[in-house]
Amino acid sequence: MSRFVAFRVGERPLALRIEDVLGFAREIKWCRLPFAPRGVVGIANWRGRICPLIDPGVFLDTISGGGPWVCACQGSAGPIAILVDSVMGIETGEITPVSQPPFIGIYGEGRLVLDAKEIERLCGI
Amino acid sequence: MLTDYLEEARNICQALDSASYRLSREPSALKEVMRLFHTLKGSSGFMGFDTITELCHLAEDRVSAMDKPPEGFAQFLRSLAGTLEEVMGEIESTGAELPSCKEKLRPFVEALSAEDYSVFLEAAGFEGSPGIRITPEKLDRILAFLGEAEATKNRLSRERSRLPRDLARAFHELELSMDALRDEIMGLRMVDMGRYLRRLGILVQEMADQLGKRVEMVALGSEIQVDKAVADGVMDAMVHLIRNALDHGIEPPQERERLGKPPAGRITIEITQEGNRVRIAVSDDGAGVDMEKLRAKAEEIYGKMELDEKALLSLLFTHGFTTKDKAGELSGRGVGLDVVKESVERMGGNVLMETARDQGTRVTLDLPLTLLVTPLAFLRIGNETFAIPLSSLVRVDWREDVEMVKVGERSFVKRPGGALPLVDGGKVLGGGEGGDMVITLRGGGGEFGLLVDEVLPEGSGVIRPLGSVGGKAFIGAIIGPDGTPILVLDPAFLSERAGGIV
Repeated sequence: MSRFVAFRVGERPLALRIEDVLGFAREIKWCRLPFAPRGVVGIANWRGRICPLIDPGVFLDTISGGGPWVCACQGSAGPIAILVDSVMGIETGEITPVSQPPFIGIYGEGRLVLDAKEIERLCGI
Repeated sequence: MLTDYLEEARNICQALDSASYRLSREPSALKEVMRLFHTLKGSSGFMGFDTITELCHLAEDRVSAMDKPPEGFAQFLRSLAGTLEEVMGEIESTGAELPSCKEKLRPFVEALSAEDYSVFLEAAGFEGSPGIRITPEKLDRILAFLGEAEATKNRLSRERSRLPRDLARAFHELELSMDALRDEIMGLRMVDMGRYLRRLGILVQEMADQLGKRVEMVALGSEIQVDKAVADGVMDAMVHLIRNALDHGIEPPQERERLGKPPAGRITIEITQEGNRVRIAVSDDGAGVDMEKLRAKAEEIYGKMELDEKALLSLLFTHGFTTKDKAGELSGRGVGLDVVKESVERMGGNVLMETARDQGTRVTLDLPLTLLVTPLAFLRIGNETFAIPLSSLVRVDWREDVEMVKVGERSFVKRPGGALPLVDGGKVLGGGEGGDMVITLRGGGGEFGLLVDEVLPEGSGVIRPLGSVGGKAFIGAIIGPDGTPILVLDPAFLSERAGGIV
């Protein structure tokens, strides 16, 4: 059994593998980033490290509320921060792999698991 | 006399180090090593430095008997060159060959006596005495935490007046400790320029050989310590300048003799420190820039212009100026100098070129000693705050005090003797159009104006890179006093938006 952190982006329930998650914050200091790649709304201060702040709704056919939560997860070159509308908690389940980027698998009653690095790739960073 | 001795000895140390890298593929370099020890032996004997004299005598003796370098000898030579440089530093401070110098040289005398250099194989890859090694990545992580702690400290310091007296005192002690911690960590990133100069010495000889030119390199200021990021960042620029000096500056030996110059050209790299700035001057005694050809080339590209020598030379640092001259007709400089300027400016530095026909060219790079804490100017554009390296800020004017003109789609600020292209900060960065202030910035090969809403008090910060997310517009970001990231604008990018120099 694997552990996942479940949350919502807009109305859509999603999850990340717990080992990919660095933490959640309700308020995070950030600023807009002009000329940012698609999906990147700005840069944020995650515990002293500057990281991109990403709205995953852009890639998920959903309209996100733009927070108020931020989920920091491990990207390929450092942390990335993802805007999340609500946090549902930790869940366990057996993951079934799917090849449907940016998802890497599905568990429970159809909860899709995001791949943080795939989100990065979609942003072109 | 001591100064002359030290200068010669240091050059010999660098030459020994340089030769050590060539030993494996050029056994003839052994002859050069023998000659270097012989020269140092003579001058050290004259100065009365007995241990160095004995060491050089022993080394000359051993090298003269070698057909090829024995195992470990190249590492031995590098280690010896480095130690001799340290010893020269001590002699410079004390004027004498103290027992500590003898102690440092003792293992080398013993190795030469026993003709066993294997112990020096272990030292390969290490610079100086072994200790705890820390990776740059780990150091950067420590710095990230320090930056965060400093931001918190700054936030607290604004509330200092509201703190009870005992807490205010404790906070003051914390501030002092943090300052000391920052200084120590900054010290960890400092490296001797000597190791970079030694690498350049090898490159100079290799490039000179390729071009069939004779040249000697003189390096001054190898003991000056610079932030590793600055030293690494400036290395490419220095290689570029040396390549230009060799390619376009130093004449072939016959030509030099015809001009009454010594057949071997000279490239001098002089590093000096002034306060928190370091100046690296790369000069040659070659042909200098042909200003008439340069003027003709400029007029061919830009049309008839009244430009003084400084403005003409600045064209050599402009992107696209030299690439149009594919045939390489300019006898002076030019190729890739825009890259040199851009990389130096990205580090908050600037470049100055001086030249004299048939006497040579000197390019001075003026850089911050460290990139850790960069002095910054803060600007408000729309509702957002941006920073810009203070070194790129030339002047600040109220909009109503300057005359602006529009030519087609481009705007300019009138200045005595010309006009500077103007960038509307709000338009470029998305903060709305217009602004009450015009700041003049230096970057991308010239000066230009930037329209902003407000110039805020100056400050400083640790610039963190943005990686691929940042694109070309920003050097990086700092964490502001309240924890919010502040983007640091790249003057070279804004200059591009201004449409280059006018």
